[in-house]
Amino acid sequence: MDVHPPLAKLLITLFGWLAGFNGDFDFKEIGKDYLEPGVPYVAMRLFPAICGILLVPTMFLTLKAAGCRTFTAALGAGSIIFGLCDR
Amino acid sequence: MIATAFTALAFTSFSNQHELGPSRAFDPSWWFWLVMTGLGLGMTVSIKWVGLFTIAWVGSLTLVQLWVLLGDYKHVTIRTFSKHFMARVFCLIVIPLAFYMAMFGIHFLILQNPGEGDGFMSSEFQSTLNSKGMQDVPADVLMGSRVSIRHVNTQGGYLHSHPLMYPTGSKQQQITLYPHKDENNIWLLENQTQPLDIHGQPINGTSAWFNLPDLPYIENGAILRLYHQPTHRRLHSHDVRPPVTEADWQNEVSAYGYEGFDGDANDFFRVEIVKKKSKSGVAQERLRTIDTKFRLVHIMTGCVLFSHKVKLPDWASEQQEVTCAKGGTLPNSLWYVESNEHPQLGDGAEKVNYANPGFFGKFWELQKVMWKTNAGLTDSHAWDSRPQSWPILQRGINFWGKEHRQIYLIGNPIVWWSATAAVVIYILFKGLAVLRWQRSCNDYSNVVFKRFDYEIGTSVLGWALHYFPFYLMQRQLFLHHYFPALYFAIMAFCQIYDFATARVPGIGIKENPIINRVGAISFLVLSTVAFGLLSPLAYGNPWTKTECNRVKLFSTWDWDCNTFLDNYDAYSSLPSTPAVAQTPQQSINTQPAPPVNPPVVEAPQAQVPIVEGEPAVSGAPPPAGQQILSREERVEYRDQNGNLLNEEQVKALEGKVEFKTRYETRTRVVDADGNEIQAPDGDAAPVAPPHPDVEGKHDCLLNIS
Repeated sequence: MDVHPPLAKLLITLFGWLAGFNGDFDFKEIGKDYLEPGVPYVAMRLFPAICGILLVPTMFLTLKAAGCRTFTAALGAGSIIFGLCDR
Repeated sequence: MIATAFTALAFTSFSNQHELGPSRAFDPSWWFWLVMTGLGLGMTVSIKWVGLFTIAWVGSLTLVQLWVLLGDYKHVTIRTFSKHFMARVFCLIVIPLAFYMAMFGIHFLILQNPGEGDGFMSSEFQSTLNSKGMQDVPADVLMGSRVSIRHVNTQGGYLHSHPLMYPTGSKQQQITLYPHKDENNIWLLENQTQPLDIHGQPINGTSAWFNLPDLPYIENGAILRLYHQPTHRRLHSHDVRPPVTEADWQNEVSAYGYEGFDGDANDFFRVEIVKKKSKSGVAQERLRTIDTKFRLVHIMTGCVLFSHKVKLPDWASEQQEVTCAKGGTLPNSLWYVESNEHPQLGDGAEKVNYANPGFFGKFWELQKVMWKTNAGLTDSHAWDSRPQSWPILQRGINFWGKEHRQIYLIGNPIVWWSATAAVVIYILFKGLAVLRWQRSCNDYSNVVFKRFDYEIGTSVLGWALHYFPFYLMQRQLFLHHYFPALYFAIMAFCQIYDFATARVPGIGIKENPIINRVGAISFLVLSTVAFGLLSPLAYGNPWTKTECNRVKLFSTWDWDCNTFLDNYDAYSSLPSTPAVAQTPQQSINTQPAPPVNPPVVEAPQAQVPIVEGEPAVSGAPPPAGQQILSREERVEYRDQNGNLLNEEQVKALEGKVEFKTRYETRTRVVDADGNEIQAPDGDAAPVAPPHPDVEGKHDCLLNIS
């Protein structure tokens, strides 16, 4: 049973569909082999990756909007790059 | 995350617009950012309920803004204030809510088919799904009707019996709740006495009610026998403790009798219609399909047919327990008829079906189920953590490990601890500021001081609202739940840095922008180095034991350095494919049974597991006169050629190869003297049909009837 509202899964589904994923793979456990069943995993991971990347300019713009200097804003953006992107 | 961040951006921009003063309110860009904030909130909350914390953040700051506006009576009339107020209500409440509901609308639109989670939803909800919906059923339930009876309060399913005995208590045939449609859910409703024919002689047999001149309605208070046609036994109860719930106030319910047996007084149940739970009108007077909710009172003992969320052990395939309770709660004692069939109710008879709950009904029900399920995720997990360990980055999460590499989620300690320090600094500052304010030191007349308090306060509030609510949650939590809070903490850190290096006058740093730049760059270099050191964990790259131990500053950072090899060269010499997979087999065998009279057959599973979407089928009960004597489960390890491996061999292979699970069922037939009988054609004995997905789904066998 899914405990989250549906938007995230809808977006993932949308990207999976765009990437040509046919729904045959069940993503049951971490570390299952993607290559053999031909899961277009690069394209599908691209979506969360883009979201993660967008965090960086968003932080920059937010800090600029809050009246910080450009270098301070760059500091925040850089912290996002090297601080959060462990996933 | 991105949605929260986007909301933060939109709201900060809106605040800027807002702070341009009342004269600039309601400009296009003012509206733009307000609407964007609303959309951002809608997106955030539609992704995860943590979005509610973001809403709380925007909401509380909006209240502050409105409060200030209200006090500004020189520029803001009551009329303008109402306009401000309504604009915010519309953009920050109506837009997110509409967005949220629209997402569920799309969700329902796309997901029309039944799936694994259906069991959580009500019957009305399920009947809106393709292939789960059912044909209209005759409305009136008559004596002689073949019905399925469903439990109202739990999603345990239908009153069910199958040819397996209780190993405890009376040792009579089991009664359970079974969640899927099945022939074994069908009960024939008989009157307490057989009907009389025109000569005044009783008509015998279970089909006696099929052809009476008057339709034999079942009125409130009627006394019934419930005949289970597939096994020719009747629903029965007696003063014997139930198998799991051994309470004094609960009696066992069983199926008792044989074909042609007239039954006994312990088979009598009285129908008591619960009027306030039934649809008004005729459904409150006599038994009607779906619309009537009723209790079944056992005449001899006065107890009431009851079920609750208690699972029977393996011997009943973990189906739900049914008992007869004295003083059980009303909701758990309520039943209704779902399917109904009678020879005298043909096509022309009045029909009913589930009421369609409509979008709002479904939406609301789903919200409640989500809430309950979320609160129910309290099992501890190997990598869970509590909120107090997050700000200090005490522990990460292990995602994956294979071939001497692993992926482990850990934050960048430099960034992480700086962010936490920023929050601490602000809290100390605020404490001091409040004290000085109490002493009327008049710090707030200083613009920089005031802005510092407000701006950093905004971010720290965001951090707090995305952090402290987790303390209230009992469910399992992970480090990644801290990410939104961390985002705000990083903001606070940068703002403090900006104030310190670019805004506080008189300490000589503001005038020297070089210091700001050099500071920022050196911080980034530092965190890049820290990231570089930990990056093998993020990307699953090769690493060495020594380097791993070197950066493992705390023992609570519990990734395992021993999985890495001693040097990088060793990685290139690893075989490119893992060793051949060995196959452990899990098989169920019977032991030779003790001698009994009829030949004995082992029927490993009386019924077949269910494949999604397909109607449930009961496996054949063991052939007449045969009974299951015993069953046995054991795990065997075999290699790819099917050779049995002993324990030492298995141990030696552990971690080096992959194991796959395969289920296998074997049946052994023995005769009266306990000698094994060679089944004709090798395996003519009723072997359970193979599980639809035999490999790797150990957890998913819960649906076995």
